[in-house]
Amino acid sequence: MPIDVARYHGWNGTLRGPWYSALAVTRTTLRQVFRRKVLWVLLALGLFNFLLYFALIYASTQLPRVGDRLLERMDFVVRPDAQQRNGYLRFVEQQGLVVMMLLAFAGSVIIGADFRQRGVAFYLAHGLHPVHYLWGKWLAVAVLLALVTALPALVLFVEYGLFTTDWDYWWQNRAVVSSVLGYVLVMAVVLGVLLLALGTWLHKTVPIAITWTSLLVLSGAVAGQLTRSTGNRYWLLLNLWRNVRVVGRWFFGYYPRPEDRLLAPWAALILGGLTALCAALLWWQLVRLRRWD
Amino acid sequence: MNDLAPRDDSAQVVFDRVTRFYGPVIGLNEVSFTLPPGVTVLFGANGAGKSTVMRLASGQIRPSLGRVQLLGRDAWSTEAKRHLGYCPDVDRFYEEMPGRDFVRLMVRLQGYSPRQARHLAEEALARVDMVHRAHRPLRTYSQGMRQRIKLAQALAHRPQVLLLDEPLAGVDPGGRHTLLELFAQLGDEGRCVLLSTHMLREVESLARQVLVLVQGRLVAQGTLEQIRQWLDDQPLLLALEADQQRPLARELIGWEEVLSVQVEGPRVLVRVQQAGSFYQKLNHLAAQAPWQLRRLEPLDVGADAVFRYLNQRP
Repeated sequence: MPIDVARYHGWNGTLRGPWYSALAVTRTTLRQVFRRKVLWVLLALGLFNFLLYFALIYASTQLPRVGDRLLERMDFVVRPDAQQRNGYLRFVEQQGLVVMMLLAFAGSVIIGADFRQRGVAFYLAHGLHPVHYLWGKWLAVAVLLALVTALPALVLFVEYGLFTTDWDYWWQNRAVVSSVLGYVLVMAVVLGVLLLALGTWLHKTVPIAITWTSLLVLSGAVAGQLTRSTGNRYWLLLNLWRNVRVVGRWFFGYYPRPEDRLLAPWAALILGGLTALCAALLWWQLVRLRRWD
Repeated sequence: MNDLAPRDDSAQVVFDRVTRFYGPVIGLNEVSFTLPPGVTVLFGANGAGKSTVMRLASGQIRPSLGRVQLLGRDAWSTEAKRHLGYCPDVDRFYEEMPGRDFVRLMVRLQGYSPRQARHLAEEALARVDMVHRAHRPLRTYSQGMRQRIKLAQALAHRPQVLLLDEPLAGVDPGGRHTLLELFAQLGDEGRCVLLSTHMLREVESLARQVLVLVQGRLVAQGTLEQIRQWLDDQPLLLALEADQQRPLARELIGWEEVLSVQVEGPRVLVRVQQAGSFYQKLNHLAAQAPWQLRRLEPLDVGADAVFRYLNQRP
């Protein structure tokens, strides 16, 4: 039967590309994360820290006597000094800890459940390539990370400029923006790809959280012990979370210890290798899915 | 979308000598067929390879050998998938998500804007009669409602090709009737509908053609009538009832069309070849015999029998 006669009419509008479709994956993933009440506890922790810094900036700019004392411990200019007083860097690193805990518990919701229930194969039956699906998922992690770290840090930057009423502040310290974004990008790439890889292999919250904690926290304890017992500071490179911080700090140009500057290229190399390995594992999982083993 | 959608009866889905291995196990063995617009029923027992055909046609997996094309494109390409609506047999998705959001999400995955997705989702929900229940989370749905929501997401972006994997599973009789009407309507609209089932009797009335899969092989393809005609020359099981069974059995065993005779209570079960010739002889015998033939019941007629026969072939 001719299709026109049979009342069949396809959609005449313009369809967007699969990279755009991946945004629907991102949006849905974030909605799933924000539905979990337990994750709001961690988000609240991040919010509390943000409010603390917000109040600090207010006090340091509006209350001169208090402000002087505060500025002795923390400042909000572009480059950190040797005393690690840069408020933005401190804030991003503290929020990074919150994100690390958040992602440990969100891995199953973000991607694990899709693989556990074979839902991912169904999603890939739509106009998406696995690359677009993974892009959507990674973007969800990146947005989550940015919401907890970069966005509030930039709000603090704006706040400080507003309260000091020094309009040149933003221009003179504009590098703060790129430093914060660079640091967060490092976290997003490394933590995002690592989490997606763990999620596709381990699926459930408890195994993901245990492995995540082992990789990012226990590795630090092991690295510290080995460094202390052998005196070889290269053992510090075993500490993945420290590596993230060392590489992230490059954007602030801040290395409080001499060995950090020495180890930074190695840390970047390790993180790059880890990310590549996780990307390969992710790809392997998707290939397995297509083979339906 | 319209640039790809064919405007005639040409094949919209092509399986060309497709073989699919799962490790050492062969899931599909050199299967070839084409699907024109209209409803095609894919029929087979559990494990026959129906879901493999569905996964291949929906681009979820690739063939080990051969090729699968959808509207002239490789089935796994993004372009082909945009013309495809897929209703899977699994139904575990985002359980907390309302049905309406689920349908919208699936439309957006096809590349539609949020506004277009809203419009298309409402249209599809209306079509499966789920508008007033679409605000509820998926976890609260009955099996039948889940099937309708899955169907809505498959229909929503107005695809040219629809793959429906066991769409009637778990649906109550009333719901089945409604869904069957919908499938027939979709076929009449010129869409290519491939519907997999292991209950052919329910859907045989709307099938433009039937594909029968047995142990990964396509053993029959055509209209149900064509398949039955082909079976005319194949062994057929008949049950005869007469007031004297043993004389009837003695008479029949000598016929060359009869392969076996078995007396079972009041019935004589006869396996025959060349059924047409057998019926002619039986008519003649019934007119002349001293005993009375009361009833003749072909046990192999109907779609299920076609399948049973094919499934038992060596």
